[in-house]
Amino acid sequence: MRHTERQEFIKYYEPIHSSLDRYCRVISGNKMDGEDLLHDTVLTTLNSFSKLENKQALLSYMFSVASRIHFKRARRKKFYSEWDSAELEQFLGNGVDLDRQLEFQMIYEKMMTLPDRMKETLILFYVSDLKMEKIHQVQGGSLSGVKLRLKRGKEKLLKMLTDKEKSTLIYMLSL
Amino acid sequence: MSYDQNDIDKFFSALHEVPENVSIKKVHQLINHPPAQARLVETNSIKPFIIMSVLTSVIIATTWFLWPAAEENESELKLERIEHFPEMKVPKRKTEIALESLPADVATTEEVQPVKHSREVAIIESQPAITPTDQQVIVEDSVEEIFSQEANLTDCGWSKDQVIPADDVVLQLTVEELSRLGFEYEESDKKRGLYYLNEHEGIVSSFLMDWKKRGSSTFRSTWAPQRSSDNDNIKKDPSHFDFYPLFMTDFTGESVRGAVIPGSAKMDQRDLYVGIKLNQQVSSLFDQEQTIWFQPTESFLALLPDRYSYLSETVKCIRELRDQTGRTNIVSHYLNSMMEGIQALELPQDKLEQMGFEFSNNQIEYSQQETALCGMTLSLGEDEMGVDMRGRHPKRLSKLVFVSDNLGRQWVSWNCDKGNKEKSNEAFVASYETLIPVILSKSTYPFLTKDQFLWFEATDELLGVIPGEQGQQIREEYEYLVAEVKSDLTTSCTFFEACRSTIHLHELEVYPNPTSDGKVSIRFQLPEQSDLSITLTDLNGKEVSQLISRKTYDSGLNELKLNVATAMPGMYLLIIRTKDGYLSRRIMIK
Repeated sequence: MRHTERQEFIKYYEPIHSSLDRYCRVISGNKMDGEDLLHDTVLTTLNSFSKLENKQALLSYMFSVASRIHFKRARRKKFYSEWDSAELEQFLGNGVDLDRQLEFQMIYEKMMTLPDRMKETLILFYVSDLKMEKIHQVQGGSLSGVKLRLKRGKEKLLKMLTDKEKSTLIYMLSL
Repeated sequence: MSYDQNDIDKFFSALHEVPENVSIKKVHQLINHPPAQARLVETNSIKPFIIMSVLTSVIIATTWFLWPAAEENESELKLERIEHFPEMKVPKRKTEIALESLPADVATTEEVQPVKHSREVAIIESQPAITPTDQQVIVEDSVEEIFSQEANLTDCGWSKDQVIPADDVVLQLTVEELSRLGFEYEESDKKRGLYYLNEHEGIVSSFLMDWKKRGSSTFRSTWAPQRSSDNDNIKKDPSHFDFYPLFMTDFTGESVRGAVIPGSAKMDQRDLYVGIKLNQQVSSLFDQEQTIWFQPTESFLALLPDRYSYLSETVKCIRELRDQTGRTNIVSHYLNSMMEGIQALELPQDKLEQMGFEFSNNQIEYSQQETALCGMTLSLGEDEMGVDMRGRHPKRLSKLVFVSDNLGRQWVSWNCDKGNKEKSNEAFVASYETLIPVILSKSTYPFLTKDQFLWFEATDELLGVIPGEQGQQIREEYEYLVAEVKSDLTTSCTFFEACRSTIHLHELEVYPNPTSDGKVSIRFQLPEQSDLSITLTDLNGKEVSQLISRKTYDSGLNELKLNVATAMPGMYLLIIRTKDGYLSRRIMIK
């Protein structure tokens, strides 16, 4: 790849970086995996950047790549447990007290059990700050589909968490 | 406890503030310098399928063609296969390649155990750093890489990451063989020394090491390799070889102070030099073994004895590989030992203080009472190194027996029984096996000139000081070693070598220990006829001399007399190897 092309890539990439970085980290649930995911996404995009006709679409393109790489890996790795709760506490507990951390961890764990597309929509909307229109570009389908997934995702999450059993568990943990 | 919409919102807003994981600078770096192997996993994942399908079709096709032939004449087919075998391209294993560079008679004996650790270490160093992303890709490519390396092999048959241990390019010559290279060794009642003077194209290099007796005292003069012949002691007529000694190292590969000719040799280019290890007779002139390094010119190689005829090819290959790959670490330096040596205990400063050590600026002191009227104070420091027996000394529960350096050489001793000169503080040590070496390392205490090993008796107090599980482990091992009935105890051995030994010889006795006349006897009982090798190694496990090389002994009681006079005084490990394993004993040579 020529130097000018790299410069062009950087020009388009820089504004997206922080939201892509957050997306990668939150969806991987792990600092190292998040970093790997971001690296792979950048390298893949870099390889095919010249083929991308509309450079404005880089954002949705990169999020799609990241999401595909992630779910592909997740499918392969689903038999391995890679949960690092200490790591999680560290990145969820940004100046939040301990009880809150525990609650957030509970919510996060629940969120990760949501269906893939639903989870992705939630992360893209709330964590990466993407607009509905962009999410629609990343995920495909229809715009109303995105809106529905967001709404239902939140409801489902709430439902899971208001379950009596889980609140007992949380109570026990908070003692 | 229940959640409402607000909690979910708060959660997401907290998640929204996750700290930055990968900085944009890192991404810039990645974009501008993508790793060489950074091809993507997705594209590579197809490769194994292609390779597998090609292989399968080849196998099916071969079977299809060969099947009728097999039925017709099976023996003919076997013969054909054998004939074709040498043409097959099988990637060579690194150890095999290294063994080829040894002379045939050495390579076939089983005693030769190539240095594994050092080679691996050097190989790892030579590879580029692997980032987590690359790792996956490299693993997938490894088979392909091996074959591509195979295609680029030189005539030497060496792979690109070939590393040969330094021992392979260090020669051991007798006095007579040394004289062919221009060295002169002289030994008489009054004088003993090694002299060298060479002149080549105006470069005069001289070398001198001698001991002279004047009256009752002995004087030593040293002259490391240098480019002048100012010294009158050196012989007058120089030789005229086109090679000359460039620098001198001790056997660990450290350069001897002042022994490098400025500008003529760089230590990091040792791949271009061949070392000559001075044999025991000559080496005894020095405090420790010495290696003198030469540039291997053709005339130099031609003067070497026949057993080193392989060397000219090895040198050629080293140079070729060096030019081809630009690597300079083809000859691994003496990094590691052939076998595991002793395990030393490194205690934190507070524990040492608990034992009675006193730490001050650039000085460590330890004193203990030996008898009612006698004791000693050991000082280790920048200004003062040694033992002081004056003054009063506190009584200690842990007992320091002797002090040695990292090679087991005892540089200080003390004796509280003045009536008996032979009897030193360690005369009553029942067994060296259970002494615990406590290390004061140079890295922790930079004012020490080298690592110091303080050998303590394994008393309860010392075992109590060792923190955590390690203390418990050593205690268990100690109890196992001193127990008369061992069958009741089970322990995993990690610390004492006697415990780590993998075989057990009945009624094994090594005596006298310590030995002062250079002779040591071993007695043991063998249940059946078996082959034995006995090696003397230093504390790091590096071989000092091969005492018995693979000899068959009958069942029953055997008694061997070994000559260890060639070894410098110090603590050594005596390793006895059979086909089933090895066992080691510590011996002290005085």
